[in-house]
Amino acid sequence: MNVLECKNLYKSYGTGRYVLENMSLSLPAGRIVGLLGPNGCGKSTLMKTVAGLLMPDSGAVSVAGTPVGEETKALVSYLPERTYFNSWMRVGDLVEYFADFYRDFDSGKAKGLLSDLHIDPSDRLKSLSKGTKEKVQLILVMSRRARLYLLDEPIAGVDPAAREYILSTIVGNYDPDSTILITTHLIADVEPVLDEFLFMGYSGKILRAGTADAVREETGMSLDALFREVFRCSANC
Amino acid sequence: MAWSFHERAPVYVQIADRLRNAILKGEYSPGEQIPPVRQLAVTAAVNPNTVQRAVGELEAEGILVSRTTQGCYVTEDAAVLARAQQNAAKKLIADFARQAGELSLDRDTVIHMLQEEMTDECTGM
Amino acid sequence: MLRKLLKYDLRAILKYWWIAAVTTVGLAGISGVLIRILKVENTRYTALQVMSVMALVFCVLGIALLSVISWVLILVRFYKHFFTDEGYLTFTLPVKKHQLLTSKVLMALITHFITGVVIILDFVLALFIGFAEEIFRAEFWQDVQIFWQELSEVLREVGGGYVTLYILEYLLVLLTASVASTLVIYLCITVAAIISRKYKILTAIALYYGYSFISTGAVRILLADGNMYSLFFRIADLGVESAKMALGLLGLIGLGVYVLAAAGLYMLESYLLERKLNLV
Repeated sequence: MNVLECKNLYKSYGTGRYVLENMSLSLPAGRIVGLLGPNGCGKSTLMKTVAGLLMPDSGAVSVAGTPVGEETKALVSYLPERTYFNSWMRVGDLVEYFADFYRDFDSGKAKGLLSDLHIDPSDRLKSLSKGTKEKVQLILVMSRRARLYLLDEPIAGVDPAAREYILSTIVGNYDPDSTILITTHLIADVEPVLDEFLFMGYSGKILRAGTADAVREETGMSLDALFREVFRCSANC
Repeated sequence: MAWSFHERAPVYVQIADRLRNAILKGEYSPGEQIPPVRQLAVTAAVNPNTVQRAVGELEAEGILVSRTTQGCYVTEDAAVLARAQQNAAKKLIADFARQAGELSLDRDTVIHMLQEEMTDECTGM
Repeated sequence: MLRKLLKYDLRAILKYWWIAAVTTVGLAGISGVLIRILKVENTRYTALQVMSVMALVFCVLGIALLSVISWVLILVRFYKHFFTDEGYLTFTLPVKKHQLLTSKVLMALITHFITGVVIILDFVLALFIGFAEEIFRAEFWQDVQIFWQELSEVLREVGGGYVTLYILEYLLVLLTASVASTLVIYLCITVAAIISRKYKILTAIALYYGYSFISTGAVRILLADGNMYSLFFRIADLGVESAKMALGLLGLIGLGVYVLAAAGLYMLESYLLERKLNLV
């Protein structure tokens, strides 16, 4: 059974233009997949729809066979681009919060990862630097044993050392039963981590899909170079 | 430290090269176990399947031997290692020769310069 | 799940509420002392007495302010949890959307209740301190007993034997009215967030004023150009027996209206959260 199934998704924000237009997609388990595309092509919208934050205008989305809703939220671990903390909590409080609501949350793992980074559980979230906040969010998301991880730009706006840490953590979470979907602009950084990739153009159209390895073998180009070629400002922009 | 990769070859090939070099350099001794695929993947920040493919290549070459679930070990077969070293040298020299040729260097000059450089660098020459 | 949501919602509010609550207790104590100062009859202390009266007024206002503060805390929690970046966390929790809403309604009710209790206790405390000697005289308690007897007689007269039922009815009205009024404000905030992404708060305030204007206008029309007070006068005009029935009926109608309103508003808000909220 596929971890994610999207069938004929339509979503517009009321401006007349469809952000997702007749978009269909299937993701099997046990993959790390890169969802790559220019700004505004619908990557974040797709993720938010799968995470249950947006309702599609029409079409069907299901995670592990169940339509998106309360049950799938327990199967999906979503890392948005922004930080979603309420400032009054401490790091330790947030860990407890996750443990309280998510049965698949591994507090031990989270605490271990946090102490590796010398983040004190009694620190107030408000007082953390941007990079640290992102890492905390990532640790919380990755400490869940979810079926589908949705990481929206996990390494953008973060220094190179933190990027490495984040990518290593993502790789360390690899599980044959689950799939990690990553959107990013930093394709060169992320390519070694990916099994497969999807090039998404405007209105959510999948322009190209395949395995990251095969790209170099077949085209002699890196994924980054191929991306630039496919998205060279022409009809796809 | 995550490993960095150039654009000119598939990632798994570059990982295999890196591991092979490490073995030939002696960073892993014959019979020693290399870190498990998962650990290599995390250290290198690379997809485990890609690492697995690279390890598979080295197993096919005979440089690595897998023992059931215990992981991969460097072969103790000296002949295999010697052959690998030869191949690595051949490749190095082929690359060098090609690049020297691209620079339109005179053959004898090249050999002379090479000898000078080698007496400085190599042992037992 | 609902209990967990409620736990965190209340924690968020109480964290700040208790400071205000404790402050009011302090103010109540000070009020008591000020009352005692004012009781001292001596023409020499007029300046002190004037200042004491002003201070007493401030204290009372301060205590009453607790209800404003509790409203602020409730609405801030509602707004932040749903309509700011925190919403990303809230709406990906494995709970039903209506459970989120129910938790918000319950947290409001509980907060209002404890606020009311604290304010009443504050006044009792102030009066106890201020009138300590009077209270501990035997006559005071005799007076209290007489007052209680007279009150019970009057209530029995008016209620015709159904006193407890009437009290229950009006308590229910209070409860449902509280739920309904909370939901109205929640709805204003939600609709504002849906129609105006940039000016959520201003739009919400505008919507609430619009609603207040319309609802007072509607009441005025219903009561044929009157208000709640003129309504009571008209009931009083009816004569005792009819007045009793009218009051009872009014209570039931009010209850019915508020129950329907609360249910309707709840479902509307639930629908909006479920289908219309787009977090960007």
